[in-house]
Parts: sequence; C-alpha cells; structure tokens
Amino acid sequence: MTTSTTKGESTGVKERTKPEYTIVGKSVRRIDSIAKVTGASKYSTDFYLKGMLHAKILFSDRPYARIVDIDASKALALPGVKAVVTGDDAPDNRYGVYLEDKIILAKGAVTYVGDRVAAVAAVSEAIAEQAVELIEVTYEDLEPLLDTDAALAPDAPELHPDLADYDAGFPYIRYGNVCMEAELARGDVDSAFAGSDVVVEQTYRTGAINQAPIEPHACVAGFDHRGRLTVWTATQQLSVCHAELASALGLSMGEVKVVALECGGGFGGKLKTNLEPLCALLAQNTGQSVRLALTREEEFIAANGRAPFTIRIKLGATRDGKLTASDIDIVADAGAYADHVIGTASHALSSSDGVYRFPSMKVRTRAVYTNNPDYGCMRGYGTIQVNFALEAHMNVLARALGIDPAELRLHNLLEDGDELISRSRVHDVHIRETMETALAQSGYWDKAGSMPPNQGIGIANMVKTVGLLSSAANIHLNEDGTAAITTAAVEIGTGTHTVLSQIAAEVLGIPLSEVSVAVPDSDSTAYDLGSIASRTVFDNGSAVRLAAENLRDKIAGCAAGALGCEVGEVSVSSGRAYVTSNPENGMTLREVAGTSIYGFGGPLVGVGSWNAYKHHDEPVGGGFGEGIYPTFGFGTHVAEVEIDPDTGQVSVLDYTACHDVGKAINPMALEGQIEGAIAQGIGGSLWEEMLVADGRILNPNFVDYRLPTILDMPRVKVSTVEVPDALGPFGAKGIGEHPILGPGPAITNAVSDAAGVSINQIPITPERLATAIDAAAE
Amino acid sequence: MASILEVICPTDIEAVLPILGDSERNPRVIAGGTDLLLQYQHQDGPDLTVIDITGVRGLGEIVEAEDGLRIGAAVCLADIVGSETIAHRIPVLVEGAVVVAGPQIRNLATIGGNVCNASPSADTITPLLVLDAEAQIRSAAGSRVVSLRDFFVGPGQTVLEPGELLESLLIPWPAPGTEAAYTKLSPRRAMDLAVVGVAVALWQAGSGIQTRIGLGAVAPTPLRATVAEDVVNGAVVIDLDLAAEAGAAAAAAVSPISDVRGSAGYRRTMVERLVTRLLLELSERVTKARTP
Amino acid sequence: MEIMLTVNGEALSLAVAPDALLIDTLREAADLTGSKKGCATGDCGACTVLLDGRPVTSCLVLSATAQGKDIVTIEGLADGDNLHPVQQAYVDFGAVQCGYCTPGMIMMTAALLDEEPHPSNDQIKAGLAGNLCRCTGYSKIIDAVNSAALITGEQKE
Repeated sequence: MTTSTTKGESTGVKERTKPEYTIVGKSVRRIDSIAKVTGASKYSTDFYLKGMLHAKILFSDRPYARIVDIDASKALALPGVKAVVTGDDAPDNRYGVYLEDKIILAKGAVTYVGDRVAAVAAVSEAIAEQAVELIEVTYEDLEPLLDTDAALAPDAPELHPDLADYDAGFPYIRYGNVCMEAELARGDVDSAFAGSDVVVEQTYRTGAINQAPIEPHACVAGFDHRGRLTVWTATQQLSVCHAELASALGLSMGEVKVVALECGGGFGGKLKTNLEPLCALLAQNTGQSVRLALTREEEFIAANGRAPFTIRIKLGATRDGKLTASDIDIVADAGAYADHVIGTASHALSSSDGVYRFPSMKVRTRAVYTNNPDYGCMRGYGTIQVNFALEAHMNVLARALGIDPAELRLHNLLEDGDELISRSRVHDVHIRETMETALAQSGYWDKAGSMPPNQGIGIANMVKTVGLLSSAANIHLNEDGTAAITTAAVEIGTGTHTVLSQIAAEVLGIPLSEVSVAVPDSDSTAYDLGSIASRTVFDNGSAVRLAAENLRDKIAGCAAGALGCEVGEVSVSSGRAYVTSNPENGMTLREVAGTSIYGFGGPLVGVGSWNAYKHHDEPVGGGFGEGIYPTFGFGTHVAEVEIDPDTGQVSVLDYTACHDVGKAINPMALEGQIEGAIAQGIGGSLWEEMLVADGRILNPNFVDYRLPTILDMPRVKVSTVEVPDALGPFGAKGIGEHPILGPGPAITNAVSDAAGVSINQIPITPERLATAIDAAAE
Repeated sequence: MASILEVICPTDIEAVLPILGDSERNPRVIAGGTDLLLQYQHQDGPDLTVIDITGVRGLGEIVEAEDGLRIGAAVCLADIVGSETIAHRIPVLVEGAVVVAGPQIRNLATIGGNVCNASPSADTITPLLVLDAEAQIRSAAGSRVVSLRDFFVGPGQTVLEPGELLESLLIPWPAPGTEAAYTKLSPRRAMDLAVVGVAVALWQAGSGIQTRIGLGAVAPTPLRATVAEDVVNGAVVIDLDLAAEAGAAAAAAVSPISDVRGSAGYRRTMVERLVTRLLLELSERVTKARTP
Repeated sequence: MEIMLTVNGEALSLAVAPDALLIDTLREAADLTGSKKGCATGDCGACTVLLDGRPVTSCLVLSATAQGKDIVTIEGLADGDNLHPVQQAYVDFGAVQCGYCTPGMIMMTAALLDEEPHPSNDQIKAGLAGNLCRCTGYSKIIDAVNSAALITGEQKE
C-alpha cells in the first residue's frame, strides 16, 4: 500500500515518527551542526601542523606538448624553497579508478591544460608561488585533439599509446582514443522503428560542470608520532583514497595512513585521490610535513568535473502512445585521463531505459580521450546526462504524437519485476505514485496547454540506482554504557553521521546523545566505498544496522549471563538489558559494559559488513561491466518558468518534486538533500558551464562560472512517497543524486513549452535561447 | 608580480596629494579595494605604495548643493543605495549601485572606485552618464572638472594623470519630471557583471522630449549613444516606430566584443531591444505623470 | 607592520605584511579559522565578517586598513555556551549541511537582522545574495532566518 507524505513549504523541525520507531523517522538536529555554526569545525583547509611547508603546483598552460626540458634552478635558488619535484621524482607506476592510466606528475609530455608538471615546497605559500613562476619549461607543442570528433577520427594520434596495457578492474573494450566502449541491445530496433507511427531523432549536449564545493581542495601530508607517512584530507572515499595513495606511491597500505577531516562539500569532486599523492611525494622528498591547497582558479583547472556528453537519441512510438524502440548513442569527452568518465559513460548506458518500458533498445556508449581538461564525475554520474536527453526527447515525441507529455509517460511506465537494459530488475517501483503526486501538487493538469504567454510548464521523471559495493562498521560499548561507532563512512555534509547515529540509537535503544561517530581514519576502519552514488544511508546505514544488531545480541548475551537466564529471554531497549517477562530484572548498559570488561566475556564490539551489490553470473556482453544494483529510487519533477523572449532570460517560477525514498530516516536532512540537489540541477540547466576553448577553461572563477544565488532559486515544493524498501535499513532507499536528475529536462521542457522552440542543449543560457527563438521566427 | 610595500591611511586630502604626486613611490589609491586587490597582483611592475582614502575628511560625504548633488569619491555603494536624498531625487543612480555584486561588496566598494576602475560594464557609470555627471579632480597643482562623457579613454583607462585624484562627482539636478531607469542584462539576479547595460533618462522640455541614453559593456568605454538620442530629441511623442529607430541607431553605434559573457551579435541585438524597451517604458511613465 | 584592532571584543596587536588580507590575518595570525576562504575574489561570501558593524568580504580588505577597527567573526557571535539566536535557528532548521558557507552566511544574517529586524522573504534574499551555498538550495536558510527574526526582532523592541 502506498502512503504519500505530502510536504508543503518547509517550516522547520517536523516530527514524523511511525509508532514503532523512537529516533528513526525523526528530524533530529544534526550532530555536527553546533561545531559548524560556531566555527569550531576543522576542515581540510583549516588543518595546520607546526613548521609545515607550503606547496604550489606548476600546471601545464598548453593542451598537448612534449616536455623538452624543465629548469628548476632559479626556483631552487630562491631562499625558503625546500624542494622542487618533477616527473623524474615520481614513481613510474600508473594508478587510477576503472583504468590505471594516471601518474602523479607528467612524464615526457603534457596532455591537458592543468596537467601537473612540477611542484614546489617552500616555507610559505607566497614563496612557493614565486618559485613556481621561476621554473622554466621548454615545450614542443603538438597538435591537440580538442573535441571527441577529432579524437574519434581514423587518423587521430593515440593520446595513450599504451592503452591496451593499462591495468583495469574490467576488460573494457578499448581502441584508439576510446578508453571504454560498451553496447547493449534488446529486441530489434530496426523493425520496431519501421513499424512505428512516429519516429523522432535529435542530438543533445550537456555542458562541462564543476562541482564547485565552497571548500577548495587542500591536504596536509606529514608523519605521525611513529614516523609513518600520514595524510590529512577532506575526501568522499576514505578507503579508496588510502588504497590509491598507496598504489600511486608504490607503498603497501600499512605504510601510509589517511585521516578524514571535515569536508566542505564533495559532489563527486573529492573522490579517490586528487592532491594527496603529490602532497605525500613532497613530504617524502623533504622529510617534513607539507600543505597543498588549491585556489578557486586552480579548482577549475585542476579538478575532475562532470564531462560534457553528446547524446544522439531516436525514439519511436505507435499512434496510441505506446513506445516501440529507442536507439541511443552516447559519447563522453573523457579529457586527458579516463578518471570517472568511464564509470559515467557506462552508467549512462545502464540508465538509458529511464523509467519506461522500451520493447526494443539499442544503446552504445563511448568514453573518449581528448586534450581537454581531465574530466571526472559529479553528482548524477552519467544518469544525469542521458536522463536529460531522454526526458527532453520524450516531450518531442509527445508533441509529434499530439499527446500530452505526462500522458505519454503514464502510458509507458516500468513496473515491479521489469528488467532494464542493464539486466538489473526493478522492484519497489513507485514511479506512478511520484508522477501522480507531482502532477497534483503542481496543478499540472489545469496548467498544461493554458499557461500565460511566455510561461511554460515541463515535467521530468527520473530513476537512479541505490546501493553499490560494500561497507563496514564497528560499534563498541564504552565503559559508561554509551556506544561508539567506528566506520570509514565520511560526513561530507549530507547528514550521514547523524543518520548512522540514529540507526544505531534505534537498534540499541539508547538516546542519540549516547552514540558517537569516530573521525574516520584508515587505520581503525575497514573498507567502505565512500559517500558517493547515493549509497550512504542504504549501504553505510546497513553496515551500521548490522553492527548495532550484532552488538545488541552480544549485550543480550552478556546480560543473560549476568541475570542468569537464556539469551532469548532478554530484551535490549530504553538503555537497559532486561528479562522480557520481568522488566524490573535487568541492568543498565553501563552495568553490562562493566560486566563484560571486568567480569566475563571481554569488551562488547558489534561488527557489521555489508554488500548488496552482485556481479552477473554470466557476462552481459558488449563490454558492459556493471552488476546488479540492489534497488532503485524513482522521482518526478514539474517546473514552471517564465521567459523573456527578447533577451532569452529564464526565471523559474515554481518547482515541484516528489521522490520515492522508502523511508526517511531524518526527514529534514532528506528534504535538504532534495532541495540542494535541485539547486545544483537548476544551475547546470540555466547558468553553469565550464567554457572550454583550445583546451582551456575560459571562466575559472565564480564571476563567470555562475552558481545559483539565493535570489535565483525558486521555492521548491517537496513531497515523498514512503513505502519501505525490501533491503534498506528501516526500509530506506537513497536520495543523494536522484533530485539532480530532474531540473535539466524539467526546465528544458518548460522553456520549450514557453518559447515554442525545441531545446537540445543545457545550460539554456539567455543567448542560446534568444538565438533559438530568433532563428525559429525567421 | 607587483607587491604592496606600504599602506598609508591619511585623514586629510592635503596629506594624500603629495604622496600621489611622488612617482618614485609608485602610489595607488585604494578605497573599497574590491577592484584593486584583484588586479594588482597580475600586473607586472614595481611594488606599490597604497593610499587608503576612505578615512579622508570630506571624501565620504553626500552634499545637496544648489546646482546638484555632490558625492564624495569615497562614498560606498551601500550608502548610495541607502541615501534617502538619492532615492528621492536621483533614483536611477540607486538602480545602478544596487545591482553591483552583493551586499558585502557594496559595503566596501565606492562610487569613486567604480568610476576610476573604468570597466566598460560598470553599473554606476552608465547611469552617471545619463545624469550628465561631472568629475571633480584634485592634484597638488590644483583642481579641474571633466564631464564624465570625456572621462574614459579605454577599458580601465581614464583621463586621470599621475598625481591626480577623483575627489567627487557632481550630478546636476535632473529636469523636473525626468524619468530614468537602468537595466542590467545578466543571467543571474545578483553577483554578475553586466552582459549589456542600458540607462535611459527622459523628460519633457519646451522643445519636445529630451533623452540621454547610456550604454555599458558594448564598447571600449561606457558611452552615450548620441546618435540614438538625436533620433528622439525634440519629438512630440515616442511611439513604437520611433523607439525602434532609436534602438537601431544605438545598436549601430556600438562596437561590442565577443567574450565569455556573450557574443558581439547578441550584445548588439540586446542594445537595440533594451533601448527600445526602456524608451517606451519611460515615455509611458512621463505621460502618466503628466496626466492628472 | 604592527596593527591594533579589536577582534571579538578583544584588543589585538598583530604583525602583518602590508599586502596581508584580513581573511588571512584572522585565520593565521589571530588563529580564528571559523571564517572561510572560498574564492578570494569576493564572489562567495564565505569570508564575511563584521567590520565596524558592517558585513564585508574580508578577502578584499587589506589588514593594514583595519587598524583601529572593530571586527566580529563567527567565533565572537555566541555568548559563551549560549548560541546566538541566528546560530540556534540554523541548527534547528537544518540550514547547515557541509557548513563551509555557514559562518559567512550566519554573519551576514546577523547583520541583516540588525539592520532589518522584521525582513520580508524578498529582503532576506536580497540580504544574502552575496553568500553562495552549494548544499542547501537556500530553502532552509530562509526558514532559519525567518525563525531567528522572531527572536531578534523581539529583542530589539
């Protein structure tokens, strides 16, 4: 049965407990908020060690060139400079996610503007900056490949001649400048299109986007009290950062430690490693601690942003509004290194059904090396690009059919048990409920087709996987009966540590104030994939749930011994362990802890290890490396816009979002995630784009890379559908990325409705819209 | 890479001028600092002596005089926005000042700094041009007055000679019944630089309608579109055709560049449309005000 | 050079270079890392402090020009263990996610409510237009400001 919790404007802390939960389902205040509002939190940029050196990087200023010579003599002669490192000082081994194609510093050639040529460590940042200017590099410029068409041309030079030899986690199809290609199909698209009444085809483009967390990257590498290399950093992936750091330096993982500091936003920009290997190299080289931090300008040049995609899409349908086929070709500009573009290109492929039943499908994806910036990934991970194209094109199809866009969608929705092109099966499908809720809340049926002049309304659906690979957690009982969680799960601002504490508190039957979460470090934690991929509540939450249940069982066992009964006769709740049939006969958790420590059995530690992601038994074929995702979250957005047809400016008047979340463990935190993701989505739909020409980012600053300000954001009407998921902790799914998938197509569809022109590129800048309107008028 | 050797904070203009005239010290005036501090490090050259004029007596005042409003160079944009006098008598200047960046910047940035930085897209300059403002310039040698129309010679370049300081701006009181407005075309509602800026002032004189049209971000300097003004001046009424003709004349008179914020073609088209739009809007306001 | 200024009610004497920016002086010389450096170009507001009562982007203030002035940073807002109503409201209304924009946002809010005790939503937005947040989408920030205004507005009466 569906229960729809309709949420109007957010008005503060709202209690939404189900009768059976004490803390889960409550909008408790986040455990990290007080430190953040008083300025006490220490972020990666606030971490200082006495006597530490300061490092700056010399970036390549050209997209493709052979390095003929590097003369660092003047830099080294500058008083206060302690070291200059170049590719000669860095290990030869390549490392990386998906494909191991990266090196710490460029060797022999630079392949993008922003490639790392050298780094300086000096006694102050000012001296390090001066020293960087004094390094003289002689380049021999080569003809760069500045877009994917050039890189795909048959005679294009190979940017990675050793591509076939790179280690990888999966045997990707690779050739020329294609670092990954995959293809999946179902049915027979050719005959399906032939039998369709309407076939529409278009090419869509999405812009290069910067994650732009307000906290720039920074880290400190030094040595702990035993002289062991240690790196303090803000990361979304503690364990992955640790493994990659060791791999990059040619060390075993035990020879280096990573400590996670407070993180001022990630959004996919603080994955695996970024500055850490280079910073650690300088620490090794100088024997001193070193701080390496990026300016905002360097954030644009040196970051791994969301790659621009080109998506050609062809959809077919019969007159009655039934979808027949889709043919999609995805090309992702990977830039100089593969980084996460392989993952996003693949995930675009696996997301290409959207929320619809396509009887026949043919989808191909390629990630292509160019001499453009080293793109990576951002919230939305490939799904965002293909969902934009698919959802925008569904409206084009609807128009061609003469059917309302929402009707067309309702007519073709996925249902429980359907198999996607990726061979994952969907379950707990609530797309129809999110559609009905969003349509009702927005007043869509009254507005569609009768908006005032220059106003438009647009709908978009979305779905994203939830659950990826594995997580672990320990919880132990302190002597005073409070519980301490140790986990590699990092708090990047989404509320993860608060949600994990709520889960633990609920299972153990103790107040939230009696649960602590450790500052994650790699020594004391087992593997966790990270705060990415909308997985923290589902995967980390499950690991904590398992650990808490394990601890609860051990508490019951210890209490049973102390109380002289069977373990099955003991309940653990309200801060006590007691005989269920005689509650007065019990002990406080403090007493249980004391008994375990001083009496018998030993300290009580609960352990949880979790992985709900499965690999396919048989290869799916076509170079496709993804497995079976545990679950999926669905959503629907409706946007209303007003345009100025003379200038092309767009105002978002109203925005409605409904998401299928399973269970909101902390409703206020969940709502905040939805509102924030929508803001990022709106930014990428209207204002944000890294403009790249000749391989250079032309707008590496916050004046011309335009984040939405408070004046630009509409009030968002958020509602949720909460039907417990089969697998998630307390029925929770995930939400981190789902809402960012909506604004691109919802706003595109609304603007197209308002302007009467078709739109095939985001961001819809005023100039692009005005140009499209003027062209259509001719 | 230039650096700052010395920071001096005088309280009297007589203390400023000798330092400003001493070229050996490479003096630079700082008021709000919101442009200088972003620019000086990218400039090659000798190290600077920076003179902070925000504490100089008289430079931070707004004075109503008989011939007009005198605004000291060090008056910050927030104070312009908050001035009842300016809101009441020269509201178009508020329209320009209030769209500069955000509130924190406006608490630092000054009108003198915005004018002397001489960016073609500066939001206070375009309104000042249609207000026919005058720059009062001081040096150790004396003072001179330059019409703002003649003040700018190139992007970031003014007629100020070494040793000269912009002391104040004089804005003649607008003719009775003047309606004026400033439109800043930008993608976001705050924090952007203008892609195109258009200011128009309109009033009824004995000889017919009079107008001044100022344009920003479409030429090496902010400018008055005098050819477009000539189309309108003396007209009895502004109808759509006349407004469109003036818009076209304004568009023909500009030389925009293509850059990250917009193409030349788009800017030119926007000049035409926004000038037309503002002329019609203001003409309606003038008519309404005159009709009892 | 040596400058004397008041920071969070305390008279400080700090050694600063002529080109030192106030944000760096506060974070390093005065060891007040609560104010953040998000862009160093005045475009994000994360470095906002009160300078003689006015909210400014401290990344665009030369420390030398702050001589003799009164500065309040996020660390100076609470009264001992008692959070300022704005701080408490941000906590209560979920207006803090990663928290990096938060100190600047809170300082700007405090200044806004001091100037405008009963702001409309439009006035709140105009007041916070110079503070970028990448996490929240601003909705809960507006809720927090409205809630804080009920308390600070009363206190002013």
